Amino acid sequence: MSSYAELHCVSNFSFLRGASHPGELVYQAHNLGYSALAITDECSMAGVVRALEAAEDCKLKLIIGAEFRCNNDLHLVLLAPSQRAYAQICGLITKGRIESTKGTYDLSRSHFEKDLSECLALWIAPRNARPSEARWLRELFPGRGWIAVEMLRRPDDQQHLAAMRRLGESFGLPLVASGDVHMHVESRRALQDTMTAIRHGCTIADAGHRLFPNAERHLRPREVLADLYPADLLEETLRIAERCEFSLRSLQYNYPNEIVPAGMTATQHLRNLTELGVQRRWPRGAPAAVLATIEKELALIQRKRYEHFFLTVHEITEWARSDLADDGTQKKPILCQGRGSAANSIVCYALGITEVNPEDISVLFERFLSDERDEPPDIDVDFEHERREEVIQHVFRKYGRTRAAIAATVITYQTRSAIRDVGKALGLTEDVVGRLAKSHAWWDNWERLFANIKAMGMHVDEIVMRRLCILVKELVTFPRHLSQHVGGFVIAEEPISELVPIENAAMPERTIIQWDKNDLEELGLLKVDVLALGMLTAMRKTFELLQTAGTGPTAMDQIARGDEPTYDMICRADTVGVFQIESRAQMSMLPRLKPRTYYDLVIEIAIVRPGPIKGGMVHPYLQRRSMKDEDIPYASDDLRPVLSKTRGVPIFQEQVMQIAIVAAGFTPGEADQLRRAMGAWQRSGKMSMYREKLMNGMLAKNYTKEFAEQIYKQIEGFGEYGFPESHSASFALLTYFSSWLKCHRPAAFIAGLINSQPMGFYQPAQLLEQAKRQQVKVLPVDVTVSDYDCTLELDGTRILPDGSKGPWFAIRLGMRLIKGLRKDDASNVVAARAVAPFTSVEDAAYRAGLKSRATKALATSGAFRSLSEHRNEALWSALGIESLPGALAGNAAKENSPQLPIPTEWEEIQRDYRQMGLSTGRHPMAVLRPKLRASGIATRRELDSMRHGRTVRVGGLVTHLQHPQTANGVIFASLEDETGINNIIFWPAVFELYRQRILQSNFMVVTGELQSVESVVHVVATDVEDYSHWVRTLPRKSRDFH
Amino acid sequence: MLWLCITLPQLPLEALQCEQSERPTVVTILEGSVRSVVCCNPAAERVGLKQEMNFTTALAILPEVIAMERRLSAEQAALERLATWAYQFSGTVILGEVFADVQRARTTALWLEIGASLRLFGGFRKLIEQLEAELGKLSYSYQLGIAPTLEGAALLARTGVRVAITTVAALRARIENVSVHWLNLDPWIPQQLQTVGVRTVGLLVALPRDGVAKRFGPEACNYLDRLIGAAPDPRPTYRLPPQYHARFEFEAEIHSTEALLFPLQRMLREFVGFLRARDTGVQKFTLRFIHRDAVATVINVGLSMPDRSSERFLTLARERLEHTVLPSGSVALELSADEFAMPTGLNVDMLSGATEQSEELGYTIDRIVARLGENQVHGVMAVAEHRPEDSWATAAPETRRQHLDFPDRPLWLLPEPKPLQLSGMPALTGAERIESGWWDGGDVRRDYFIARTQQGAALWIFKDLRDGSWHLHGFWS
Repeated sequence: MSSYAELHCVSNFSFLRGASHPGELVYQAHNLGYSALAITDECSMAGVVRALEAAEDCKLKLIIGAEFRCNNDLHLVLLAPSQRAYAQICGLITKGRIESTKGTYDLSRSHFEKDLSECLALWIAPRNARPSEARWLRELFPGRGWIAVEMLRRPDDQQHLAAMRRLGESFGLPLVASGDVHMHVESRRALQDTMTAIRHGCTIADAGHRLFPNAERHLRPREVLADLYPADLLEETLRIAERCEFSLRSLQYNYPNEIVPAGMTATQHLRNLTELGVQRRWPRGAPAAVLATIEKELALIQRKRYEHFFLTVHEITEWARSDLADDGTQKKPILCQGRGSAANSIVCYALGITEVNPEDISVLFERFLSDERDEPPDIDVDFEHERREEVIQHVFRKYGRTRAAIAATVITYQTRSAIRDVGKALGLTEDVVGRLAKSHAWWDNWERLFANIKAMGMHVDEIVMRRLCILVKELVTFPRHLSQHVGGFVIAEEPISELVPIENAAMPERTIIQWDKNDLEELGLLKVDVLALGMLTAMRKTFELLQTAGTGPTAMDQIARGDEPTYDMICRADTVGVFQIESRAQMSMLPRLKPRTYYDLVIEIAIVRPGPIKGGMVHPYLQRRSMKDEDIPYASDDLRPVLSKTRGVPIFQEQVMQIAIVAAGFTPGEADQLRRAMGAWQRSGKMSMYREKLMNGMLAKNYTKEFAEQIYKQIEGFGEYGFPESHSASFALLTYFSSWLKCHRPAAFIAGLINSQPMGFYQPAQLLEQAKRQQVKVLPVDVTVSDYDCTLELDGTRILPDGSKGPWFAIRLGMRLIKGLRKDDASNVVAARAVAPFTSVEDAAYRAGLKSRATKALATSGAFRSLSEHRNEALWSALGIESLPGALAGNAAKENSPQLPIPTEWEEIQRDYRQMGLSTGRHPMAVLRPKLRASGIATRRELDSMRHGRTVRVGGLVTHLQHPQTANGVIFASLEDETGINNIIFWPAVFELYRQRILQSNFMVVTGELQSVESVVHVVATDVEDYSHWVRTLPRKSRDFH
Repeated sequence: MLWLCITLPQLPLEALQCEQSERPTVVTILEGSVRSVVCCNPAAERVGLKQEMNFTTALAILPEVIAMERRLSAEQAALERLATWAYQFSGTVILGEVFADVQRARTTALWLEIGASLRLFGGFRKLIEQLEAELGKLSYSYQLGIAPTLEGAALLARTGVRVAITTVAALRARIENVSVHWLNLDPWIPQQLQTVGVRTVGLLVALPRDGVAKRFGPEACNYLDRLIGAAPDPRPTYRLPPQYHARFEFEAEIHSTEALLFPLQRMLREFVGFLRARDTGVQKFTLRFIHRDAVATVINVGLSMPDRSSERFLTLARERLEHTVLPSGSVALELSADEFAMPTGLNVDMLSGATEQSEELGYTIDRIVARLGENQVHGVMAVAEHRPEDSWATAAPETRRQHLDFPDRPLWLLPEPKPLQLSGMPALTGAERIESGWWDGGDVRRDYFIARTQQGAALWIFKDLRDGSWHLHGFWS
C-alpha cells in the first residue's frame, strides 16, 4: 500500500468549518497508517498544541501549517519546515488578523510576497487556474512551491488533473496530492453540513450549493487514495513531509531583559531584592531555617532559569503598590496579593508578592517547582477589581504591544448554544429553539430533553428532534471562538508574533494570542496572571473610609492576627460579606468546623468545594476534628506525613498528587501530568488512563479498593474545580482580614463593600440588614449630605468588640445606590452643594444641572427629604422642572404646590425598594409583623429557641434561589425577614409540586420541619404559600440560580 | 349624544382563534429582546399566567404553554368586521385604536352612538339585550359601558361598570374613586401619578390643569377634559364600505373542515350584521380558503333569492364545503360580496380593455393554461441542491431562470431512478459522488457515472453506496 501524508487538513479550530477535534484527526491519521498529518487551520494556530499532544501520544509525525484564502481567490496552504518558517507563518497570520475585525482576517497577494522565505507553499488550484498564478507561485516559492491536486470525486476530476499536469510541466511546478480534509471520518458529514449552515446563517435546507456535495473531505484510507490519485502525487506528499522537521517543542523564548539593571545578572538582581526583602520582613534578622530555605529556593530558581519570571511579577506588584503612575504623576496605590505554589515561597514573601508567611504554613515550594519536572511556576496575582485595567495597561506600556499579549480562552459550544445554533440550522423557529434551549437550562438533564419537548406540546417532528439531539451532542465542546483569558499575560523579549499568532480581542486595544493557558502550559511558556478581586477593592475602600474618619487600621499589616472576637464571629457563621466564607454552603459548615486559627480557615476555604464534597471528604474530616491525634486512622504510615495536617483526609489538590506518588507509585513527573489531566480532562479524555494506573498502583501497595475509589472520585471532582492549598493559603488571609474588619469596623466594612458593588454574593440591601443587626445605624440618602459613595458619620462612642472604648460610626447612604442616577449627576450635586446650600428641589436640580430623569430618581428615592415636606411633594416638584433656554434658565414661573397626600410608611418603603433596592426604614416584614404573627408565622430569630424537628411556619422576602450541582436536585431558598435569613430546603418532589409559587413568589411563606443542628438552622419545606399580594408593590429582588 | 362602548379585552387572542381552547394558550409579543405575554385564555389564567408577564417566566411556570404571536393586522381586521356588524344598531360607529404596547393591548374598543337608536329599539334594556344577543354569537369577550362621553364610556367599560350613565355630572361622581391605572393614557403617566400619591381619577381631576399639563403634556389634560365632558371629542366615524370584504387569518393552519366552521360562522354573522346595517341582502357571496402552498380554493355561494340569514348562509356554505376537497390546510379565510340584492350599478372593469397588448408569449401561455387548466402547466427552475432529483422545481410559467453553477447534468431525468441489472460493466466516465440530503429524510449516497450503450446512447447511472445496487437516473442528449 502506498504511503501518504495529508498536508491540507483543517480542524474545528477553523471555526464552523472543520468538523473534528485536532486530536480526533491525529488519532485517525495514525490509525489509517498515514506517515504524517499537517494541521492547517485557516489563518490560525489555535489547534496545533492540542494536535501536538495527541501526535506525541500516538507517535504520529505532526506538521504545522496554515491555510489562507486571499481576497482575489488565491487559496494557499503554507507549511513550516523550520522554526524560522513557523515564525514567518505566525507573522503572516498576525498581520492578517490584527488589521481586521475580531474573528476575521484580511490578506492580499502582496502580503505573501515578503517574509515567507522558508515556508513551503501548496497552491490549491481552482478549476480555471490561470498560468499567471503558477508563475507567481514559482517565483515566490522557488523549489518550495507545489500545485496541490484534490481528487474529491467531482465529475471533472480527471480533466482537472490533466490540466494541472500541463500547467505544472510548463512552469516546472511539481504536483502533490492533498485532501482538503474537514473531518476525521465521513460520518461527520451531517455535522459538517450543519456547521456550514450555521456559518452562513441559513438553514441546512436553504444552504444549497454552499454545502459540500459529498463527504469526501475526510481522512480517507490509503487504498482509496491509491485508486484516486496517481502514485507520483502520493509519493510527493512524503517528500514534503520529510522536509518538515520543525516541532513546537523546539520553540525557544526569552523573558524580557530590561527587568534586570545593566551590568547585573538576573540571578544577582533577584538575590539582592530578596535580601532587601528579608531585612524588611525580619528586621531583627531572619531565623537560620528561613535563610537556608531561601538559599535552596534561589538555587533552584537559578537552575530552572526562572529569575526573570519572579522579577517580572515583582515589578508588576511593586508598580501596583507604588504611588507613581507610568507618566510620573501620582496615583493611588493598588492593593494586590499573589497566590499559587511558587507564590508561597519565602522568596515571594520577601519580595512582597504575597503576605502569607511561609513560617505559618508549610507548603513546600520545592514540591511544585522541582528539578525533575519541567512545568512553569504558578503565581497568580489578584488586584483590586476596579483597577486591574490600570495594571494591564501598565504591562502593555512597559513591554509594548508586540511583546506582551493576553492568553486566549477558547469559548466552546455549551448545550444551550449548540441547541440554538443547530436548531436554527434545522429550520426550527426562533421561539421553539429558545424554548428548547431554556427548557434545558437549569437542572433537566440531557435525557429529559426529549420528554420535555413532548410535554411542551411543540409541533416538532420527532425525527427532527432526534437529528437535533445527535448533532447537539456532537457539537458540544467544539470551539466557537477565541476570547481573552481573565488576565494571563505572556511577555517576551522578542516579538510574540514569532512564537504564536496574535489577534484582536473583542475589547478595543486588546490583543490576544491564539493559544489558551493549557497550550502555554503544555509548551512550558510562562504566563503572569493579572487577576481581578472585588474584595481587595472593598478592603482598600474600607481603609480609606477609616482614614477619612481619623481612625484605623488603614492597611492590612496593621491588623492583629489571631483575634479572638473575630474567630468567635466566624464560628457563629456571622459572615455575610466576608471573603470566601459568605456563601450559604460555607456558612452552614462554619459552626461545625469551628475555625479558631489561620490554618483552620485555609481548610475551611478548600473543603467546601465540589472536589472534596464529591469525594465525600467533608464528613470524615468533621468527625476526625474531634478525635485525639493518636486515634486518627491512616490508610498507611507512608501517608501520615502527607495527610497529618488535614487529619488523615485529603482536602487539597497537592495532597492528591502526593498520594499518587506515595501510595500509587507515580513519579513526581507523572503526578504533575495527573494534575494537568485533572484540569483539562474534558479536553483530552485522558483521565481513564490514569484511573487504571492509579487503582493498580494503590492496590499493588495494599490499599483497599474503597480507598482507591475514593481518591479517584476526588480527583474527578478536582477536575471540575480543583483547589490547591497554595491558593487557599492566600485567600485565607483575606478571609481573616475581612472578618476582622467586619467584626471590629462594621460600618466602614459594609460601606466599603457597597462602594465596590457589583461584587460578591450579597446585594446592598442584605449587607445593610447585616449592618443594622450589628447595631450600625443606616442613614438615608439626602442630597444635602450624601456623597456618591456611602460615607461614615460619627455616632457617639461605644465599647468595641476588643473591650476598648472608641468612636462608633453610622453609614450615610451614597447616591450610588439610586438606580437611574449617573455618577456624574451625583458629583454635580456634591459640587453644587459645596458652593452654597440648596434651598429647594428646583434650586438643587438647576444648580447641579440635573436632567429630569436624574431629578425624578433623586425625588423617588427620598433624597430631597431635607428640601421638601414629603416625597410626593418632592416628586411633584421634580416632575415640574422645566429646562428653560438661556437667560430664562433657573427662573421658571413659581407655582403653588397642590395638596398631595402624604405617603404612608409602606409607600415610603416601597419607593425605597423600587429606586434603591433597599430601605432605611423598617424592614417590610417588620411592618407586616402583626399580621404575620396572627397567621402564626415565626421570625428567624425565634427559630433559634425552637427545638429540632418541630413544624414551623416562616416567611420572608425571597433573596436567593439556588440549585447547586452537588445537591442532587435540591433547591435552596433564602427568605429574609427583619431578624435574619431563613434558609429553606426544597426536596425535588416539593419543588415540582410548588414550582410556580417558588419561582414567582416575592414574599414566600413556608411550612416545614425545623432542622437545628449545631446552630445550623434550616427549614425543610413541606408546604409553600405565595404571599406576594401582601407586598405586591415591592419588586422581586431574588438572584436566581447563579 | 350617548355612547355605548364595547371593549374587547381578549381581542389579541380572539382575533387569532375563535373557539375556546382547553389548553393553556397565550399571545405574546417581542419588544426589544423581551418577549411578554399580552393575553391569556382562561385555561392559562387558571395556572397563574398573566398579561404583561415575561414569557420566560411563563415558560418556567408552564413549559407546555401554547404561545401565539400577536398580530396587529388581524386585530384591526377583526375590529373593522365588528364595526360593520355594529352598524345595524347605530348609524354612528367609531373605531378605537389598536395599541401596539403590551400595557394597552387589551383596551381596544369601539363606540356606538345609541342616543338616536334608543327609540328605534325600544329603550336601553331592549337595545342592550338585542346587542348582547347578537354580540354573544360572535364569540368575543367584551365589556360594555354607557356614558355621555367617549372616554367616559370606555372607562366604564374597562372597569366593568354596567350602569348606564347619562349625564356628565353622574359620570364624574361615578369615576371619582376609579384608579388612574384605568385611564387611557400613555402607560408611564398613571405610573408616575401613583408615585406622587395621585391614585384616583378624583384626585387627578382636582389638580390644577396647568400643573398637570406641564408634567404630563397638554395631551393628557385634553384627555381628562374629554373624559369629563369639558372638551369636545370629535372623531372620524367608521364608514361602511361599498363592497364587503373580510379576512380572517388563522394562527395555525387549519386542516379539518369541522374546525373551519368556527371562524366561518363568526364571519357570516358579522357579514349579516353588515347586511342589516345596509338594510340589504345578497344573492351571492364568495369564500376563499387561502393555503400556504397551493392556489386558493374559491367557493361561490349562490342563493335563489336575496337573503341575510347567517344560519342559511352557513348551511349552504357547509354543504358546498363538504363537497369540496381542499388541497391542504387553510391559513386564512376571506369572505366577499360585491353584489347586493338592490341594484348597485353595473360592475364594469374599466381597465379590461388595456390588457390586449400583452406579450405574445405570455398570451400564448395564458391560452394554454386556460385550455389545459391551471394545474397542468408549469415552468422549470434550477434549485441549488446537490441531489439531482431535487435540483429543479416547478415554477410559475414565466419565472426567470437562476444562474447556478452545476457540473454537467443530463437534460432528461427520470421521475424516479429505475433499478438496473447490469450484465457486465459498461465503460464508465464522469465519476461523481453525491452524498447529501440527510436533513429531510431523503439522504442519498451515490456514485454517478456516464455509461455508453452499444447503440451510442449516453445513460446517467448511479451505484447506491448503501447497498451497491445500480440505477438509471437519466439520459444525455
